[in-house]
Amino acid sequence: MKKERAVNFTFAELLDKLTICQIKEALLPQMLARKYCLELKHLEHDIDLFIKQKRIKLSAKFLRKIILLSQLNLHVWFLKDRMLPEHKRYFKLLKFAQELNGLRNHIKNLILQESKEITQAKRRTTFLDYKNKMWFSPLILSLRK
Amino acid sequence: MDLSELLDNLTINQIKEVKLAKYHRSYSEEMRNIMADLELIIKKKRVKLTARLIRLLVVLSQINLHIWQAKEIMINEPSRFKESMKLGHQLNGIRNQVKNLIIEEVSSGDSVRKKTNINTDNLKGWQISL
Repeated sequence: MKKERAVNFTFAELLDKLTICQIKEALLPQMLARKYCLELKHLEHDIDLFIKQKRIKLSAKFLRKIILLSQLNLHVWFLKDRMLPEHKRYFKLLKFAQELNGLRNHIKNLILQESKEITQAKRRTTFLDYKNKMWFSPLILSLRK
Repeated sequence: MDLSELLDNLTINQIKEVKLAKYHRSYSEEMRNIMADLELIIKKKRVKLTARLIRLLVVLSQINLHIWQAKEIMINEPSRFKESMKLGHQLNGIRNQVKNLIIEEVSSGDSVRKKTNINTDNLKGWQISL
Protein backbone atom coordinates (compact mmCIF):
# COMPACT_ATOMS: atom_id res chain seq x y z
CA MET A 1 0.00 0.00 0.00
CA LYS A 2 1.24 3.50 -0.87
CA LYS A 3 2.11 5.75 2.04
CA GLU A 4 1.01 8.91 0.25
CA ARG A 5 -2.65 9.78 -0.06
CA ALA A 6 -4.15 8.91 -3.42
CA VAL A 7 -6.91 11.51 -3.31
CA ASN A 8 -5.85 15.04 -2.50
CA PHE A 9 -7.83 18.24 -2.41
CA THR A 10 -7.85 20.20 -5.63
CA PHE A 11 -6.92 23.90 -5.66
CA ALA A 12 -10.60 24.76 -6.06
CA GLU A 13 -11.51 22.62 -3.03
CA LEU A 14 -8.83 24.28 -0.92
CA LEU A 15 -10.09 27.75 -1.86
CA ASP A 16 -13.69 26.74 -1.22
CA LYS A 17 -12.73 25.36 2.20
CA LEU A 18 -10.86 28.57 3.01
CA THR A 19 -13.94 30.68 2.26
CA ILE A 20 -16.22 28.45 4.39
CA CYS A 21 -13.75 28.29 7.25
CA GLN A 22 -13.53 32.09 7.17
CA ILE A 23 -17.31 32.35 7.55
CA LYS A 24 -17.21 29.97 10.52
CA GLU A 25 -14.33 31.79 12.19
CA ALA A 26 -16.27 35.05 12.02
CA LEU A 27 -19.74 33.80 12.91
CA LEU A 28 -19.45 30.77 15.18
CA PRO A 29 -18.92 31.07 18.96
CA GLN A 30 -15.58 32.38 20.20
CA MET A 31 -14.55 29.05 21.75
CA LEU A 32 -14.46 27.51 18.25
CA ALA A 33 -12.56 30.42 16.69
CA ARG A 34 -9.12 29.04 17.62
CA LYS A 35 -9.93 25.76 15.88
CA TYR A 36 -10.86 27.58 12.67
CA CYS A 37 -7.88 29.89 12.98
CA LEU A 38 -5.58 26.85 12.96
CA GLU A 39 -7.45 25.27 10.05
CA LEU A 40 -7.15 28.54 8.10
CA LYS A 41 -3.39 28.53 8.68
CA HIS A 42 -3.13 24.96 7.35
CA LEU A 43 -5.22 25.86 4.32
CA GLU A 44 -3.08 28.95 3.61
CA HIS A 45 0.01 26.74 3.83
CA ASP A 46 -1.37 24.22 1.32
CA ILE A 47 -2.59 26.97 -1.01
CA ASP A 48 0.88 28.53 -1.05
CA LEU A 49 2.38 25.13 -1.91
CA PHE A 50 -0.13 24.70 -4.70
CA ILE A 51 0.58 28.16 -6.15
CA LYS A 52 4.31 27.37 -6.25
CA GLN A 53 4.00 23.83 -7.60
CA LYS A 54 1.46 24.67 -10.32
CA ARG A 55 2.90 28.15 -10.96
CA ILE A 56 -0.51 29.75 -10.74
CA LYS A 57 -0.36 33.36 -11.82
CA LEU A 58 -2.24 36.29 -10.39
CA SER A 59 -4.85 37.85 -12.65
CA ALA A 60 -7.88 40.06 -12.18
CA LYS A 61 -10.10 37.27 -13.51
CA PHE A 62 -8.79 34.88 -10.89
CA LEU A 63 -9.36 37.45 -8.12
CA ARG A 64 -12.96 37.89 -9.26
CA LYS A 65 -13.52 34.13 -9.00
CA ILE A 66 -12.20 34.19 -5.42
CA ILE A 67 -14.55 37.07 -4.57
CA LEU A 68 -17.51 35.28 -6.09
CA LEU A 69 -16.73 31.98 -4.39
CA SER A 70 -16.35 33.69 -0.99
CA GLN A 71 -19.58 35.58 -1.33
CA LEU A 72 -21.63 32.73 -2.79
CA ASN A 73 -20.82 30.59 0.23
CA LEU A 74 -21.87 33.41 2.55
CA HIS A 75 -25.08 34.06 0.57
CA VAL A 76 -25.94 30.35 0.99
CA TRP A 77 -25.15 30.57 4.73
CA PHE A 78 -27.51 33.56 5.13
CA LEU A 79 -30.26 31.77 3.19
CA LYS A 80 -29.96 28.66 5.35
CA ASP A 81 -30.27 30.88 8.44
CA ARG A 82 -33.56 32.21 7.07
CA MET A 83 -35.07 28.96 5.80
CA LEU A 84 -36.35 27.63 9.11
CA PRO A 85 -37.65 30.86 10.72
CA GLU A 86 -39.30 31.93 7.44
CA HIS A 87 -41.01 28.58 6.86
CA LYS A 88 -43.58 30.03 4.43
CA ARG A 89 -40.75 31.03 2.09
CA TYR A 90 -38.80 27.82 2.69
CA PHE A 91 -38.88 26.47 -0.89
CA LYS A 92 -38.31 29.87 -2.48
CA LEU A 93 -35.21 30.37 -0.32
CA LEU A 94 -34.11 26.77 -0.91
CA LYS A 95 -34.41 27.20 -4.69
CA PHE A 96 -32.32 30.36 -4.54
CA ALA A 97 -29.72 28.58 -2.38
CA GLN A 98 -29.60 25.71 -4.91
CA GLU A 99 -28.99 28.14 -7.76
CA LEU A 100 -26.23 29.86 -5.80
CA ASN A 101 -24.71 26.47 -5.05
CA GLY A 102 -24.80 25.66 -8.77
CA LEU A 103 -22.96 28.92 -9.46
CA ARG A 104 -20.45 28.04 -6.76
CA ASN A 105 -19.77 24.71 -8.48
CA HIS A 106 -19.46 26.50 -11.81
CA ILE A 107 -16.76 28.77 -10.33
CA LYS A 108 -14.98 25.75 -8.87
CA ASN A 109 -14.94 24.14 -12.33
CA LEU A 110 -13.44 27.32 -13.79
CA ILE A 111 -10.72 27.26 -11.10
CA LEU A 112 -10.10 23.56 -11.83
CA GLN A 113 -9.47 24.54 -15.45
CA GLU A 114 -7.11 27.29 -14.36
CA SER A 115 -5.12 24.94 -12.12
CA LYS A 116 -5.12 22.33 -14.91
CA GLU A 117 -6.75 19.69 -12.71
CA ILE A 118 -10.00 19.34 -14.60
CA THR A 119 -11.12 15.77 -15.22
CA GLN A 120 -14.61 14.40 -15.69
CA ALA A 121 -14.47 12.89 -12.20
CA LYS A 122 -13.35 16.12 -10.57
CA ARG A 123 -15.78 18.34 -12.44
CA ARG A 124 -18.59 19.52 -10.17
CA THR A 125 -22.16 19.04 -11.30
CA THR A 126 -23.90 22.39 -11.38
CA PHE A 127 -27.52 21.58 -12.35
CA LEU A 128 -27.60 25.10 -13.75
CA ASP A 129 -29.98 25.86 -16.56
CA TYR A 130 -27.49 27.32 -19.04
CA LYS A 131 -30.00 27.66 -21.91
CA ASN A 132 -32.80 29.70 -20.43
CA LYS A 133 -32.49 33.31 -19.49
CA MET A 134 -32.13 32.98 -15.76
CA TRP A 135 -31.06 35.75 -13.39
CA PHE A 136 -27.58 34.19 -13.24
CA SER A 137 -27.12 33.75 -17.04
CA PRO A 138 -25.45 37.18 -17.56
CA LEU A 139 -23.15 36.46 -14.61
CA ILE A 140 -21.97 33.21 -16.15
CA LEU A 141 -21.49 35.00 -19.46
CA SER A 142 -19.48 37.80 -17.85
CA LEU A 143 -17.11 35.24 -16.32
CA ARG A 144 -16.23 34.01 -19.81
CA LYS A 145 -15.22 37.45 -21.11
CA MET B 1 -7.07 54.17 -6.86
CA ASP B 2 -4.70 51.66 -5.28
CA LEU B 3 -5.13 47.91 -5.41
CA SER B 4 -7.02 47.66 -2.10
CA GLU B 5 -9.58 50.23 -3.25
CA LEU B 6 -10.04 48.47 -6.57
CA LEU B 7 -10.52 45.11 -4.87
CA ASP B 8 -12.98 46.66 -2.42
CA ASN B 9 -14.92 48.14 -5.33
CA LEU B 10 -14.91 44.82 -7.16
CA THR B 11 -16.29 42.97 -4.13
CA ILE B 12 -19.12 45.52 -3.75
CA ASN B 13 -20.05 45.39 -7.43
CA GLN B 14 -20.04 41.61 -7.23
CA ILE B 15 -22.57 41.74 -4.38
CA LYS B 16 -24.74 44.08 -6.43
CA GLU B 17 -24.58 41.86 -9.51
CA VAL B 18 -26.05 38.98 -7.49
CA LYS B 19 -28.45 40.98 -5.30
CA LEU B 20 -29.69 43.42 -7.92
CA ALA B 21 -29.57 41.16 -10.96
CA LYS B 22 -31.81 43.38 -13.10
CA TYR B 23 -29.04 46.00 -13.31
CA HIS B 24 -26.44 43.39 -14.22
CA ARG B 25 -25.23 45.28 -17.33
CA SER B 26 -24.14 48.28 -15.36
CA TYR B 27 -22.33 46.22 -12.69
CA SER B 28 -20.77 43.92 -15.24
CA GLU B 29 -19.35 46.89 -17.18
CA GLU B 30 -18.05 48.51 -13.99
CA MET B 31 -16.35 45.25 -13.00
CA ARG B 32 -14.74 44.96 -16.42
CA ASN B 33 -13.24 48.42 -15.99
CA ILE B 34 -12.05 47.65 -12.45
CA MET B 35 -10.48 44.39 -13.62
CA ALA B 36 -8.67 46.17 -16.44
CA ASP B 37 -7.17 48.59 -13.90
CA LEU B 38 -6.30 45.68 -11.60
CA GLU B 39 -4.42 43.99 -14.45
CA LEU B 40 -2.44 47.19 -15.02
CA ILE B 41 -1.42 47.40 -11.35
CA ILE B 42 -0.63 43.67 -11.13
CA LYS B 43 1.72 43.99 -14.11
CA LYS B 44 3.24 47.34 -13.18
CA LYS B 45 3.89 46.43 -9.53
CA ARG B 46 4.58 42.77 -10.31
CA VAL B 47 2.14 41.66 -7.62
CA LYS B 48 2.52 37.98 -6.76
CA LEU B 49 -0.28 35.57 -5.93
CA THR B 50 -0.02 34.38 -2.32
CA ALA B 51 -2.34 32.54 0.05
CA ARG B 52 -2.17 35.61 2.30
CA LEU B 53 -3.51 37.86 -0.46
CA ILE B 54 -6.26 35.32 -1.22
CA ARG B 55 -7.23 35.17 2.46
CA LEU B 56 -7.34 38.97 2.77
CA LEU B 57 -9.54 39.13 -0.32
CA VAL B 58 -11.85 36.43 1.09
CA VAL B 59 -12.27 38.45 4.30
CA LEU B 60 -12.83 41.72 2.43
CA SER B 61 -15.43 40.09 0.14
CA GLN B 62 -17.32 38.59 3.04
CA ILE B 63 -17.11 41.63 5.33
CA ASN B 64 -18.69 43.75 2.61
CA LEU B 65 -21.48 41.19 2.30
CA HIS B 66 -21.94 41.17 6.10
CA ILE B 67 -22.24 44.99 5.96
CA TRP B 68 -24.79 44.66 3.13
CA GLN B 69 -26.72 42.15 5.23
CA ALA B 70 -26.70 44.54 8.23
CA LYS B 71 -28.09 47.30 5.99
CA GLU B 72 -30.85 45.00 4.71
CA ILE B 73 -31.84 44.26 8.31
CA MET B 74 -31.91 48.00 9.02
CA ILE B 75 -34.42 48.43 6.19
CA ASN B 76 -36.52 45.32 6.73
CA GLU B 77 -36.56 44.99 10.53
CA PRO B 78 -37.09 48.42 12.14
CA SER B 79 -36.82 46.91 15.64
CA ARG B 80 -33.20 45.97 14.89
CA PHE B 81 -32.30 49.26 13.17
CA LYS B 82 -29.86 50.65 15.77
CA GLU B 83 -28.23 47.29 16.50
CA SER B 84 -27.63 46.65 12.79
CA MET B 85 -26.48 50.19 12.09
CA LYS B 86 -23.87 49.85 14.86
CA LEU B 87 -22.77 46.45 13.56
CA GLY B 88 -22.38 47.87 10.05
CA HIS B 89 -20.23 50.70 11.43
CA GLN B 90 -18.11 48.27 13.48
CA LEU B 91 -17.62 45.93 10.52
CA ASN B 92 -16.54 48.90 8.47
CA GLY B 93 -13.61 49.20 10.90
CA ILE B 94 -12.59 45.60 10.11
CA ARG B 95 -13.03 46.29 6.38
CA ASN B 96 -10.60 49.23 6.60
CA GLN B 97 -8.12 47.15 8.63
CA VAL B 98 -8.18 44.51 5.87
CA LYS B 99 -7.67 47.13 3.18
CA ASN B 100 -4.62 48.42 5.07
CA LEU B 101 -3.28 44.84 5.30
CA ILE B 102 -3.72 44.47 1.52
CA ILE B 103 -1.70 47.67 1.02
CA GLU B 104 1.03 46.18 3.24
CA GLU B 105 0.89 42.80 1.45
CA VAL B 106 1.28 44.16 -2.07
CA SER B 107 3.09 47.42 -1.20
CA SER B 108 0.85 49.14 -3.69
CA GLY B 109 0.83 52.38 -1.76
CA ASP B 110 2.43 54.24 1.08
CA SER B 111 1.07 55.10 4.51
CA VAL B 112 -0.81 58.07 3.00
CA ARG B 113 -3.19 55.61 1.38
CA LYS B 114 -3.90 53.74 4.60
CA LYS B 115 -7.31 54.06 6.17
CA THR B 116 -7.48 55.70 9.59
CA ASN B 117 -11.07 54.73 10.42
CA ILE B 118 -10.18 51.29 11.72
CA ASN B 119 -11.90 51.39 15.11
CA THR B 120 -14.40 48.59 15.72
CA ASP B 121 -15.95 50.23 18.84
CA ASN B 122 -15.75 47.15 21.12
CA LEU B 123 -17.16 44.77 18.54
CA LYS B 124 -17.68 41.44 20.29
CA GLY B 125 -18.10 37.93 18.91
CA TRP B 126 -16.24 38.48 15.66
CA GLN B 127 -12.96 36.61 15.58
CA ILE B 128 -10.96 37.20 12.43
CA SER B 129 -7.36 36.05 12.74
CA LEU B 130 -5.36 38.19 10.37
